[in-house]
Amino acid sequence: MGRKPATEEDLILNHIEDNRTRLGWSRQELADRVGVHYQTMGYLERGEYSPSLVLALRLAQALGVTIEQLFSLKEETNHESKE
Amino acid sequence: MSPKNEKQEAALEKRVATCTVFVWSDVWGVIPLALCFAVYLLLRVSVRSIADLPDRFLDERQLKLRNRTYLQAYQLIGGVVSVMALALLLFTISQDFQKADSYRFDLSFGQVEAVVWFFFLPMLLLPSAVLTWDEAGR
Repeated sequence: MGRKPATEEDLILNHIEDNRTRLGWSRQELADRVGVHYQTMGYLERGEYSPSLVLALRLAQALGVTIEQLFSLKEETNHESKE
Repeated sequence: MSPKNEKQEAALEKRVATCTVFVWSDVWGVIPLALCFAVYLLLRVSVRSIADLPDRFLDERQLKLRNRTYLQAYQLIGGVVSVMALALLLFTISQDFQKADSYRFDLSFGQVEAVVWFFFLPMLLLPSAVLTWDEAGR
């Protein structure tokens, strides 16, 4: 299994790390709160794994932000979709 | 000591001796096996048992990873077994043509064909069969 991000992961921008450090939590702490392995949290923060909708909602809830504040499509994708 | 006890003791000694000879004569065969198990255990530790743990112990990324790994492993073993079975088929055909003395198989061509299909068909059908079974249950 390679760690190279798939195309789907390339399109998504996430702010998990910013929000986690804002709250002063470790990866392990956040991982425990949303019920995943701490390694999975690393994959999520690096944008190497796209979470399911349930996990995305759990993350947003745990970090006290909306899902739109946590995940967004990258700028070039927005432009492409508008064209 | 009664003759019955002597007989039992002799039988026990004979068994112990047989076991000892068996273990010592096969010790060189046990070493590669032990090495294989050691490698297997080390591999398990290195991937934190993701490949073997039940679903409830894995998160969604680990499950996805595990399932993709099983698919790749299945395809790999399917390829290897199919190549081996086809090699057996080709070997049998070539030996039949050459009538070589070294031909040691006592299998007829029909039996070899049966062996080939015994491996090849399940490899071909199993994924779709499992998927059908899963879908039928929903």
